[in-house]
Amino acid sequence: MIDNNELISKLAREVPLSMAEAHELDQVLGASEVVASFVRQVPDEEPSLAWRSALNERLIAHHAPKRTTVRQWGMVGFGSAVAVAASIFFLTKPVPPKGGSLATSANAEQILLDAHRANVFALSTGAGDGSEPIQAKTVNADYQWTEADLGAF
Amino acid sequence: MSVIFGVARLTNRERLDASAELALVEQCRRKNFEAFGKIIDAYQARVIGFVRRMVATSEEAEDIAQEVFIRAYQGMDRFDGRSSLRTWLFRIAYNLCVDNARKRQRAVPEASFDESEGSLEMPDHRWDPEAQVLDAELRTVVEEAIGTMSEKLRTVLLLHDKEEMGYDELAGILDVPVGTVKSRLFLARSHVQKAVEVYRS
Repeated sequence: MIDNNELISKLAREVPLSMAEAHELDQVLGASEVVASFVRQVPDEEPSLAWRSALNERLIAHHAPKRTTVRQWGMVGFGSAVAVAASIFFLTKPVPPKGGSLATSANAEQILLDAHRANVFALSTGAGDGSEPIQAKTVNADYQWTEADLGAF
Repeated sequence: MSVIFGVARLTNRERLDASAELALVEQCRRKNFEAFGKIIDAYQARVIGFVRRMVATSEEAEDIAQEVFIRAYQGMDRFDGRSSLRTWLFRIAYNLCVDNARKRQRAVPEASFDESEGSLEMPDHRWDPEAQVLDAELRTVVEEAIGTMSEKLRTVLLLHDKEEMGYDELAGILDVPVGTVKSRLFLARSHVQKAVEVYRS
């Protein structure tokens, strides 16, 4: 038989029990249900309405800031997303080369006007047939002047 | 904001069955206040009763009990359903009580166990559990005995004998082996038994 004091000492120190001691402990616990029934009969504490009301207020208070925070972070997130999207758009947008083929509408209009004037001038002076683009002749030192050329002068 | 928690009240200590509990938890995750009100209704008296016996004053107990439900509401998404809602709530309550004791460094006057008194012998079987009804005086004796035992023993006694939790459940909450739970329960019951014997003698 296990000495009771030895078991008590082990229980108080929370050291592992042998199989026999564990069995004895189970038996003692099973036989001490009367004490458990005393504890069971100890009443619960019914909360007051004030307590419940205060709890509701605290719950609402904890809920409300969370929603505000979520909304604020949502706005910040949306703003950031828009900013990032705009940055990506401008960074990836093809930049027209300066003096390249793309021209502003004002330039295009000026080019068309100049071409029209040149065409009218060509038709009125008889230079060119009006359908061919007017091209300046390159005159260099090796050019051989013909009689026609000289006659034109 | 006209939100009212606990419109549909449950009677005190009315147990929620597992499926009803899970349904309520699911509604709470969708921030259904009324569902959480039902959970409060079902557990508030027991949680307050437990916390009240774990801390020094009623004010502390009420504050901590409120904190239990606030944390539960906030952490409902983390409740995985592996344990019951009751176990989860009492785990929160227990942890808050331990934190509170640490903060206040409240030294619980642990009742020394006098081995020579022999009060750890087998209980007197002439005590018929069914016939033992606590009168007001005996209730006070039991309450005082619970109040003067160490926090470790008190926790096990209240959660096992009052809240009817199993050894495994308790071992999970306290993070100790089952054998330790049994040891503490035995010592706690012996302490109460000794107090009752003194009263009766």
